[in-house]
Amino acid sequence: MDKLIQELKEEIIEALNLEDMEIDEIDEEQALFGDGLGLDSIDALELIVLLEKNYGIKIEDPKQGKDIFYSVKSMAEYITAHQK
Amino acid sequence: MGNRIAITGLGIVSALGMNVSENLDSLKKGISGISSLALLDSVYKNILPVGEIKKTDKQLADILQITYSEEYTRTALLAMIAAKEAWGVSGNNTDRSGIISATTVAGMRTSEQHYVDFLQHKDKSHFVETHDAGDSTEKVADYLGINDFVTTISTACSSSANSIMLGARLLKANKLDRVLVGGVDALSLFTINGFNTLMILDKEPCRSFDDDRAGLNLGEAAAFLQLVPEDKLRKTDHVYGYIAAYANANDAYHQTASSPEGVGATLAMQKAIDLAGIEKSEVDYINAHGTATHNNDLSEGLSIMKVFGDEIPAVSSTKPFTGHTLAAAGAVEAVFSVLSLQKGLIYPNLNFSNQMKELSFSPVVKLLQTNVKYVLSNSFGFGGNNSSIIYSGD
Amino acid sequence: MSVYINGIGIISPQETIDNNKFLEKIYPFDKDYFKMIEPAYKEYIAPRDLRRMSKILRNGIVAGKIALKESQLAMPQAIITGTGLGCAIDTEKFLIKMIENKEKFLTPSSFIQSTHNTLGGSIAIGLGCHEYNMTYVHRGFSFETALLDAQMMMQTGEINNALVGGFDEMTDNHIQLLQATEMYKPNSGTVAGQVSGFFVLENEKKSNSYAKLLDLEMIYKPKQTVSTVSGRIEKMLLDHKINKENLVIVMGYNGVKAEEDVYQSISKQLFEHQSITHFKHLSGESYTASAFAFWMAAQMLKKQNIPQAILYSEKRISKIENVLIYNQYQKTEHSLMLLGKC
Repeated sequence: MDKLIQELKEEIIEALNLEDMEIDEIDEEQALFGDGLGLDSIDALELIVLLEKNYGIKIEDPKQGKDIFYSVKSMAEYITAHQK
Repeated sequence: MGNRIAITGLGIVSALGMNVSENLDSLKKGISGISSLALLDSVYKNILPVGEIKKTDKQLADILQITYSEEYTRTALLAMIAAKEAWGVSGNNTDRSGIISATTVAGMRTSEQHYVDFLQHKDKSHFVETHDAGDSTEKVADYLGINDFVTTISTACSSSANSIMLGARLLKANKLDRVLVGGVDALSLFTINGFNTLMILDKEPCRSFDDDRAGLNLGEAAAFLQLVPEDKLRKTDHVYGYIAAYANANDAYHQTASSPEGVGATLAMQKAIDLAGIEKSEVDYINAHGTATHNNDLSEGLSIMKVFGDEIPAVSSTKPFTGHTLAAAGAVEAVFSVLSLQKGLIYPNLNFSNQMKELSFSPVVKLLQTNVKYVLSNSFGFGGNNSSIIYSGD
Repeated sequence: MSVYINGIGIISPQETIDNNKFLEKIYPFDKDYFKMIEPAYKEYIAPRDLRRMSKILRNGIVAGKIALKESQLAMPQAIITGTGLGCAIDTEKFLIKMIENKEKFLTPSSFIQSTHNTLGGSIAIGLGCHEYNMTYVHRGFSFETALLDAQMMMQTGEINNALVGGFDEMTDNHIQLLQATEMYKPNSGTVAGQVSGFFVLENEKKSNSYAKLLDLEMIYKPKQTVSTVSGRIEKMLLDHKINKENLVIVMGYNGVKAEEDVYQSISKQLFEHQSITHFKHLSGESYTASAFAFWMAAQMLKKQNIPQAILYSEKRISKIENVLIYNQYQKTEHSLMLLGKC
């Protein structure tokens, strides 16, 4: 799980162009959207593609993203539970 | 009322038909143009329905009686057909005539086919000449011999509503005597894939203003209107209707999404009504933008409620007929609005079954025959662009 | 009613960001095409907003901010932009990914930023500006139509001020496409460039006004280029009772012989006694290169100075009262812009 979390942080920084951020600046329990990291709906769509491309998990309904992408930790848990 | 702007010509090519009468016929019969993609090779061919014009580029060139060559993109060919119908013969001997077209992806349909060759072998680069937005406009201008004013607009999905506005403004400023205004977009892999990344394309025929709506269907079309100020009308001109007022406002909320409360949409509609000098109760029909995305229909629906309160006129979206034709949509729906005034028709909002929970109204679901004096047409786009135009019968 | 230029922000291949300087040092082009001299974006745009923005958006937003700040206009009544290619880098990014990935695993960021009106929309979001927002995209008329629209709206009283900009960017792939055409052929053709120039136009003169825009005309595919254009120039000068003694000319010399012949003929016919200046050796050629010329004209009128670097042929002039810009794109779109001293 820890390895996955590290990996996800790196991937998020790259996919969302968070150029100025370091991996340890993202807390795995911190909210990614809204007041937390400040991501928006377009970032959510980017993360959906990230899940599909890197982990083979397809999300059909963008509304589902809200819970899955709550934090890095929730993402990691979802991946662990759904990866084939 | 001052010097009013008359509409003296209409032209359209869409998934509903190759001219005004074929389009009107489909609207009256309630036959949608949405189908599977047949003329473009995409991995989404049998997954995402579209409003496609079932004519190859060669067939389009034949309709125009020109020799087909790669110099003419599909975008240019579609524009030429609709522009020719709208311009007719009346425009040929005018003193100062202009054209304002609109497009979002211009020659992309052609560019994307050749770009692979270019990337791999650095050849087949001729498409660079037809890639930009000005190309199709100039093809139309040269084909019809319009040369006193030529320009192109691109404000995403509100583009051709804005060409109508600029045309009216140029006539009012006495810069031109007659102007052809409209827009065009051909289906392309670029737009199909682009909208698909936003997860706003429905795998079913789109359901505008339905509680279960799941996104839009893309379409392709070209549509043009010929405009003349009232004091420059000739005996040979047939007046289809008038442009009563127009307004352009910005949502200033998000690059692609509309604000939940529809700030820009409310401003545009309210301003157009004020400028037309009419009571809101005089609007007989709203041809909504109604793309069937979750976001647009909610935001547009709420702003209609805000502007019209308890007296909401007949509302429908014709996108379930044509698909969302992007830069052409404003002009396509302008043609439909003018036909609504002329024929006393209010078109059904196809595929509708359940009223949206958030809204106090449902769209019209059956063709209505009634007296129509004022039609309000909405066109909204990426970049927060909101344009509303009011058309009047006399 | 006159239209005044009351604020300017321009990012270009030259050091144009500081309005107090006027082409003191010249930067030549570097490999294939002119690159922008980039400002320190972080001084103008919050990091959170920067992360998704391509250079064209960054440059346009910075240019717009500088122009607004200089004019002390907090909220323009219209944002009108002109661009030939729009957001070329994002368009290309999405296109290439789509082809390489065979329509799979595509993400929305570059798509939503590929539209021509992305910049106009972004400026509106940044300012919270709900007013008129428009983008013109017609080749060598893009910037000109934006100016014309603002001018008309001020004349009809729809608005009192507007932020008007012309912008284009060049990409490493696009330049290769262009260089396969006659016009941009290496050695014999012109050199591509890029500019992002924003101007605050207002219907009132202020202490910091640069100049006024007197007239503007676009001529599409004239049948007899030289006689048509020179006829229209003469009429424009006559309409505004311009004294040619105090007139400076800006022409779009770009190294393409067929185009240069037109400039030469018109100079010979009409402007034997006027100083002729040029600018595409500094900005490069693009659909909106005329925004650079517009800036140059405004600066000449305000500073009463013609920098050595832009002189094509020099004649004595005691006072610069007017500047006429004549530009063309590929012998198709010809434009005339007449400016006057405030």
